[in-house]
Amino acid sequence: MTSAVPGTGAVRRGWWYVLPLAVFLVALFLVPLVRLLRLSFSPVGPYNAALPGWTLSQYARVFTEPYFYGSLLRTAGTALLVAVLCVLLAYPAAYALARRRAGVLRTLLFVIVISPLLTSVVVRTYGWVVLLSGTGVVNRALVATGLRDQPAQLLTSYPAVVIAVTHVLLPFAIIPLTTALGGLDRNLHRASQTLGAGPVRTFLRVTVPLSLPGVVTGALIVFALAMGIYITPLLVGGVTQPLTGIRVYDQVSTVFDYPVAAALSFALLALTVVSTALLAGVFRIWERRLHG
Amino acid sequence: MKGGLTRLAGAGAALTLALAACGGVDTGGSAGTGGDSGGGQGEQRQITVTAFAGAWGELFKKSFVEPFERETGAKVNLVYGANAEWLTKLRAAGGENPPFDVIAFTPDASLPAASAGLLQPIDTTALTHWKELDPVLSGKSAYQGKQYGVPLTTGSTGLLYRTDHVKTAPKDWSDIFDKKYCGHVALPPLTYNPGLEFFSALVTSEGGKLSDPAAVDRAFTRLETLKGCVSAFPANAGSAATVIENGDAWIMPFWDGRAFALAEAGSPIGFTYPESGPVGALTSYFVASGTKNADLATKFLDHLTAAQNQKPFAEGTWYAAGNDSIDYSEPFEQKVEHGPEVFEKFTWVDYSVATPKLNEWQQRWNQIFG
Repeated sequence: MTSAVPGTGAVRRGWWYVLPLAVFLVALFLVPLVRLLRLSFSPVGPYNAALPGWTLSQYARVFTEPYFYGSLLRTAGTALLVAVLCVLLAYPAAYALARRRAGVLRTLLFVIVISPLLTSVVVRTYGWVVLLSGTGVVNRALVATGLRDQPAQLLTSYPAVVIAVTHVLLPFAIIPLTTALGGLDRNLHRASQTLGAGPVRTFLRVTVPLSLPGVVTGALIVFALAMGIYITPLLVGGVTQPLTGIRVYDQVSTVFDYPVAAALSFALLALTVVSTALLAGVFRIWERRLHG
Repeated sequence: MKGGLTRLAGAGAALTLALAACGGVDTGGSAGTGGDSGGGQGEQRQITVTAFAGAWGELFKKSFVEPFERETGAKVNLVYGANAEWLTKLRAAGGENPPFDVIAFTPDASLPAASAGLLQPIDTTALTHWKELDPVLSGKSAYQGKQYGVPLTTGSTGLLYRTDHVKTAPKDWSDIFDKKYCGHVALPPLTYNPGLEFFSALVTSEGGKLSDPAAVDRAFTRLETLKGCVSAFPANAGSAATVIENGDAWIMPFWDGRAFALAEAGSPIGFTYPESGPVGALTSYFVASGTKNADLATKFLDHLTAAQNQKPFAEGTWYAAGNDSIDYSEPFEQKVEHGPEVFEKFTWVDYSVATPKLNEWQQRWNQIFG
């Protein structure tokens, strides 16, 4: 039997094409997520073993113990800071990439920009450890130039975490910004300058507003990824950094308290969704003001 | 433009989710390789055994697994990893069809596993070498009057130090508070075993117990004197070795075996067994509840506890073995303190008290050093 409306059958049949992906996602993502959600409502017994039954006590702990809720606030603040830093650092690089004509040099620059994504996160992070350790390149330079008598404690510090996480996530801001800036019509710049605007005014009144979708996308991606990041802060900053990813890792690997780890994970997920929605809302208001 | 913003933001969100799900950015993930532990008549019997990843695991393979396979004809599927992932998988199995037959655990993980029924009591009469095993160490894998495991080796947590910077070897735990080391102390957090072992030593060296809040308060007051003096907070064996070897720290509470191994490799490292008593850091082996290979698992434990098998492993790792009848080599005897009299003096972390309190204590610790 064929469809009376042309294309409808094809569309209908088209749903079958996504079925394998849907089954894959439901089986390997949604089902474990639901089970994790169920675990977050489980009481714990001796040695923190999950018990049958339902309780809100794990969420109560997450939202009343400063050890947990303090880490959520610090994580959100860190993610916001990293998102701002990534956009600020990515913009000039993306601008340079977008303005360059297609060619070997542009391809080479692009490969350099995305090269961190092609390297294992552990290798990248250990690069920072090698640079910032007591006998690392930075400390050797500080001591050799007489700026310090003793090596500085650069590792296990919060600034080191922010620097390393910004480095790891920078390509996620550069890529959408390059796409947004590359798609701009150059005639608009010429029109702006023909009408008397200088390069700075053209950049601020034409380029920046038109590249806003790239800024928004880059900032949101970096923010969401920074909310859940834990290996880089763990290796560079140590387990004492008050970030939620590290707290979850600790609860699973050393305290063996899975229900509170699950509750903390869902609190982080909720905070990420709400913060991302708020940020998107703020950007939308900004965009409306710019475009009238 | 608004449509462009929405499309880009949507694509970004999808990319983020995809990357997070695939672990492309910053996720851990481990690849467990649980073996097929079935086996009927006529087929080669198989058993799945866990071992700590790294040099420890490689030596375990040579010392125990390969000889066992040669002697019995059985195949041992060795799964490398660590406590946390093995306990997670045992909890997921819930005592039925466990992914491992024989598991290595330190007491912080074995007690939760035994209390949840994930490990099965062992029949010590089936173990040829049971009477050669140290009773203090064996007692640490007993739970509610039943024997669950056999001791493999025990480390002693004491003071590891750089011999080129620390001219006079420290004698007791109190030496780590000496102001001349200020700025060069490495302190593992309480959520890493040596950190909790050091904290336990602080509590017990003054006659207190972890279950006594006043004694715990005194230990924290003592720790506060280290504020501003700690240069590193290593939370795993790799970073602990790194901070000592690269000079970030000169003194650190850590295990004797690791210290002697670093010294053997040429690093200027010394180790002190504190006068008021080092803290025991034991590794024992257990049989999982619900295994279909309980007979072969018991045979493996028997093989694991034999003096001739434990000797090369102990000497290779620089950790004292659970079997007291071993005749160690001269270099080992000169360095590693061991034997019933030594183990009797050990301080042990009381995990029945420490585990429920760990978050609270770590929070207090963070308020000092965070």
